[in-house]
Amino acid sequence: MNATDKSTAVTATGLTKRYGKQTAVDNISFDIPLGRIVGLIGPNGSGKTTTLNALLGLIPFDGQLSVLGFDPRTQRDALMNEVCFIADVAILPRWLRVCDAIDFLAGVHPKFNRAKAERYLALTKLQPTMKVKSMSKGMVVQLHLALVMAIDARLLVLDEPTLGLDILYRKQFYQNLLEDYFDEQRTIIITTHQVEEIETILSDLMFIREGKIVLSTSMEDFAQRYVEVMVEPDRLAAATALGPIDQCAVFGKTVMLFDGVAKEQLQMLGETRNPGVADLFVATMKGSYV
Amino acid sequence: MKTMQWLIKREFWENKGSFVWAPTILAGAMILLLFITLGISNSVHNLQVQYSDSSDNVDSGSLVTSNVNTTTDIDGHVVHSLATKLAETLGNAYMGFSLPIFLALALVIFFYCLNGLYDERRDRSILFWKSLPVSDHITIISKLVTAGVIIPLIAIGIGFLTALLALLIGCIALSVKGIHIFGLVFSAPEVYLAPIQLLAMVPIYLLWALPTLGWLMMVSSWARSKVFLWAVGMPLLSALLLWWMQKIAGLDVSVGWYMKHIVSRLLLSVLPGRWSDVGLIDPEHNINVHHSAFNLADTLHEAWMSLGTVEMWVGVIAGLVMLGVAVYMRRWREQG
Repeated sequence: MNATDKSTAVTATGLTKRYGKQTAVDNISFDIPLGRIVGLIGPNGSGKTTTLNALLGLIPFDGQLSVLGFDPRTQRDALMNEVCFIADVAILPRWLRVCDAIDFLAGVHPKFNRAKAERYLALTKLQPTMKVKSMSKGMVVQLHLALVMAIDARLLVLDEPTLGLDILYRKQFYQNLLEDYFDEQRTIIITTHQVEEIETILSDLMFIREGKIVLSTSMEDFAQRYVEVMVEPDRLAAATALGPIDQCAVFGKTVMLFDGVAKEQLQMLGETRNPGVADLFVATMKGSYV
Repeated sequence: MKTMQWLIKREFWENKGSFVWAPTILAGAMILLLFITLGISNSVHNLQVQYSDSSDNVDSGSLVTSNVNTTTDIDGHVVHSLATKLAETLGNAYMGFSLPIFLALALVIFFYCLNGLYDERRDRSILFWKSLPVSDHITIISKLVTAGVIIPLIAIGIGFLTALLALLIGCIALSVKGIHIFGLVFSAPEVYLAPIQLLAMVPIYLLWALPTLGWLMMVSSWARSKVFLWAVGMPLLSALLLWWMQKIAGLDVSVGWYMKHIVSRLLLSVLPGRWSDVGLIDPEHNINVHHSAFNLADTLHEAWMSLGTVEMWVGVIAGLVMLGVAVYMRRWREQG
């Protein structure tokens, strides 16, 4: 038990969450090792936020869950010393001033580094006496991120952290996160709809659909496993025989997506390329809203 | 302890307007009104008007009875004796001038408790607070301490300064008329005892107000919307239902008792001095209180006497249970 605690950030076994008759998270099990950046990706209402809320001890649930060795249901107070999260944009209280926020965190959080927060804030346009209500959405997120990055947490959970931000803020957000914050001692779990933007920073990928994990892979495996082929018309039958997980027609040619088929074999069928996470996402989630 | 200090500071940042600015503005308005009243009464030259204006709670009858003891043969003696009595009453009752401030802050406490846990859910800032290593019970305790101790202390501070200023203005106004009671008033120990006596009532206030504080915070942690309607409507509706059952089904229940011991305890216990309503205090003692002029020492005595009543402790337990529910709701209820 202790051995796994040291190397795993999160262990879920049979995690289930029901709202009345509706099952939001359906008996899922997964492990997240330390030092990873995991993208938890799924369509709206697939159970992403519910899973994160369970990890953070915000809701009751069934099944087993160990986060940094703590049970979020019974040891939440201890857990929150080690975990930090940004649940949504614009949840900082409107009356909060930048300097008060720093004072408060320095007062209540044993792992908050005031100098670090001030250094991050110096890189923004935020002034110490500014109140959240007078900030733009992007500035609120900048403040929140500066506060969170100054906390020496072992697990950082980001639920749609960049929702509603323009691309400049989004790029900067992830750049800061990767360059100034992340190291092999920390683990980051991110959910987002802007899959393309976080693709490059992720180390692992988890697809969730209708409360179930439909795909869990590291990015290295992902590049190995999935191949997209633009199939020549005369090879169509041979290609179909290999069992593509998805196909669509583009400019009169058929594009097929394969999982775990040898690359050499596929190259004979037509032009191959590595699909993006977004391509795989769309293929996997087809019919989600039907 | 350090966390608690920051949590209380946090409440202060959020509510600076209603905790500090509202009572300060009210105090300013009251002083201004005092000036206007004094200006008017100055032209009327009526001592009596001035006297009852500058201190709300004074029974003006006591001034009349005091004349019995005065010697009427020499004019100067009357004035002197009257001045002594006046100084004594003013010293005893000047704090009554600040009654509106205390009532206003009771209102502030009411709405602070009602909105505290609801607002953080509505604007979802609760997710920020819950991302910090601050437990739900510490948070609720910090809100309780703010409502039951910090706001009363602010009220006493502002109330004392305002009443003192009013007393000073009253004395100046009297000295303009040739009645010099500065020395008499400001050498009376009652003047300086009054704020200490009020401070000594804060623990009783907190204990007595617990059922209301607990009820409001519980509703605040639980209602999805319209907290005020839930908090006020439910007790009143239940009383109405009881009254209806009594009328229709002939059920043997006393709606009056219910209103006094349940509804008013849930909603009105934040008003200062309500504990004197318990009715278990020695009636003879009460008569004595009414006989002499308003006296803070008696009020303080009465306050601590209420610790001996069952009603006080039943309320304390009920309040703690409801606060426990509020902690549970904040810990486990679904957000968003």
